[in-house]
Amino acid sequence: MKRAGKQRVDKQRVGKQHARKQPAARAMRRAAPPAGPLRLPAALEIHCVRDLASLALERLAAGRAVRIDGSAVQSADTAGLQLLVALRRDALANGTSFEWHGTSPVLLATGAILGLSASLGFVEAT
Amino acid sequence: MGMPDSEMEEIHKIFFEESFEGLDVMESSLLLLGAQPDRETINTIFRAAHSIKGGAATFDFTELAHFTHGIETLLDQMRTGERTVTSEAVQLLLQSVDCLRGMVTAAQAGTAVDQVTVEALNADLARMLSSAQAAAPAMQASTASAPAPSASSLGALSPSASLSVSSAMSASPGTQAAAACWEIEFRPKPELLRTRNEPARLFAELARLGPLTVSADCSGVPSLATLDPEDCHLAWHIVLGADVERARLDEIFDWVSESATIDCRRIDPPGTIPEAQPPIAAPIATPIAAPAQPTEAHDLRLADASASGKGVDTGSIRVSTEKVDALVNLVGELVITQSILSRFSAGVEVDQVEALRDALAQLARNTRQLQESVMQVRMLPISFCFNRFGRLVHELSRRLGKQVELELSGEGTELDKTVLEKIGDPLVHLVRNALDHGLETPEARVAAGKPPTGVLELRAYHEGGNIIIEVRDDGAGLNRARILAKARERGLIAADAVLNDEQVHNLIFAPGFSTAQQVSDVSGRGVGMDVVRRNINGLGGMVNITSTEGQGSTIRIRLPLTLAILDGQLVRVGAEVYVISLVSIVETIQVKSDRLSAVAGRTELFRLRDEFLPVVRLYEQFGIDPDRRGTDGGLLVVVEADGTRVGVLVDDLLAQQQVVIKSLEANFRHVAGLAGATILGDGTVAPIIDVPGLIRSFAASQGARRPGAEAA
Repeated sequence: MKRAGKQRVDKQRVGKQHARKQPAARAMRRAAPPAGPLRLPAALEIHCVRDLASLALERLAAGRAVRIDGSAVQSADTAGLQLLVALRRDALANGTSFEWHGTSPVLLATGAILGLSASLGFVEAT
Repeated sequence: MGMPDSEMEEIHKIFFEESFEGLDVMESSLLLLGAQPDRETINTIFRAAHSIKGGAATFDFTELAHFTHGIETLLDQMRTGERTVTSEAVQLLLQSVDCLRGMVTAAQAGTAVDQVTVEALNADLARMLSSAQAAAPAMQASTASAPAPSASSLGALSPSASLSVSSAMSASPGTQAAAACWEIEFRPKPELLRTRNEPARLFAELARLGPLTVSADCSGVPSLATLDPEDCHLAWHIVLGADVERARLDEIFDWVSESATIDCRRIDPPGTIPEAQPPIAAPIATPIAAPAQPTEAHDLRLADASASGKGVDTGSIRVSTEKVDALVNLVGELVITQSILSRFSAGVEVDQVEALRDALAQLARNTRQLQESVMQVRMLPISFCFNRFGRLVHELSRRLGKQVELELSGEGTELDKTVLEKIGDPLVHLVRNALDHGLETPEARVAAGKPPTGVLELRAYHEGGNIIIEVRDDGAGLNRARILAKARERGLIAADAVLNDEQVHNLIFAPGFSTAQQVSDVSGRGVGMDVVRRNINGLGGMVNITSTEGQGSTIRIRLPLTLAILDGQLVRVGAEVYVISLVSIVETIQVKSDRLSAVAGRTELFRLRDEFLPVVRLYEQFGIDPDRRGTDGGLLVVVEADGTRVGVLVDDLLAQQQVVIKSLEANFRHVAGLAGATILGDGTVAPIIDVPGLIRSFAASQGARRPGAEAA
């Protein structure tokens, strides 16, 4: 009974958050012209990863070096970092480079606690 | 599959209500715990915390669930005897209860949570929890004593967070003096992240237990083109260097156990923990520096919040089944009576008159009982309001360095929910005043020959259809000379006014009056007592104070049981009937015209013993035709409001009866001097006089008239 309720709530909540965050994500897209580094939003969280993924794919398709600016990140979660892991890995696999143009402390710390510092290129993998 | 929003809202509402109740239970039990630690009390608190956590998780209030989890962990350690109950811990838990209350309120209102407080408390809780790791090896001591990052504090890491935390991908095995550690395989199902479960939070929580190394397995992450970014494709291998019970781990993973496979293995032989890895907890934790100062500063605000924060009107009411059963029962009787009466619908024979009379009497009885029972539904015991004072007194006496014993009596006394909600704030003010200004410091008390511990008493009881609430202290009492001096200084009374003790004492309710020699942060900002009186008057109640210098003061609040029904005195002016609330009537006297004198143009004064009362002629105020315009033979109803007495001239006194208040604003429009109206037995509408409003508009009309008189 409880479990069923929980799932329902989750869906509703996630759905609502989506609806709320959409305009912000669109604004973000306009503010980031493909030439400059891809600027990560302040909340690098699950509610904006879909938008971010499409932006990241554009970058990959451009075939240029993928440059990411994470200096504005105030909060980050697993979904956000997982996306970056995939982006970085795909970029390196394509033979393009992946560069950080600024990382915020929160970004670094969340990467560290999730054990993703190397996969994200925050530290040199040995 | 989807549940309608309204249904969800209903369920949320119940959760909020139960949470507030649970928090109240936690608070009162914690206070009890502070005085006398006892296992059952701890269990009670634990259970309350546990159900709040469970509900919060079910309804997806993640922050709330995680914060409660920390509290629960602390309580659990107390419950199992791992931790002794210290006053420090109780204090921290009390603050956490306040914080939780704020979080629940925020969740209810859909507003933002006070992150600063939440994070400060989270850090405090973490510090206290980690201080239990006394058995941890010395090498880890520095880690253990540092506050670990909490779930929600991840976002608050300062720029000084060290970068030396490296990914455990490169972990090389080393040796460490740890006795045992845990290896955990954490493989989430794809939907984990969608359920708002955040591995980073889990790991932060694990890091509280001991040094933690996390290595992520990214092999499952598909290429970006095929990645569903909301699915979780990562898995983790975690090594926790802490000798903890399996149960502690299960507790942390409890929330995700359905959406992940978790495999915990205890590794006993030492030397399996990678040495090269700096424990994650230390560098991340340091920026969340000791929040001692801000927490201290928050204290008072928190106590205030706890005392007044319950004012959130949930708009619903929980009624005991007993009361509902009584209602159902009465309706049954009413149906029987109705069927008896319907027998007479065809006409009444002479020999049936007696039976008809009996049936009507029965109907009257049913109606009265039904009215009482319906009123009962809105009635709540005043303990809802009183219970918060234990906490308030505890906090304030600590702050003020006073020893105070709080005595409550009559907590079972019931009053209307609306009145109950509105009386809270004035009572808080009165209690604060009594603690700050009334009760003396232990030294001063001993010097005055009194026991060092002061007594503050809150009493509630019924008296003639009203409820009386008394706030009594055995402190210094009011200083007559100082009040008089202050009142003269402020121009509240004439320099040569002669006042009796009661009048002097009640001056403290005058606007802008404060006798505090020092303005403290607890009370005495020069506002307050007048607001208290206004609020109480607004509820149709009265307040007064009696005090004996050196022995203490008693503040007495008289409140109507409900706002829907009023004990009224019916009065007649000409052909009109008015209702005056009995509470505001002081006495009624016959007018003798030789005691009347007119001053300042047309203001009439009536000499009543040693007092002069302005005479309000209702027919002038409401523009109606009276029986007589003279005063002889008329009756003067002496009414009082806001400390002002006037005599209201009426033609006749009719019955005293309970009247149901009907709003004039809702049915007509607001009329100055009238509080509403009621429908009398014969179907006529009788306006209910708003005594404070009448006095105000009378004073205004006199003030307007006077300059005119001077000009003429």
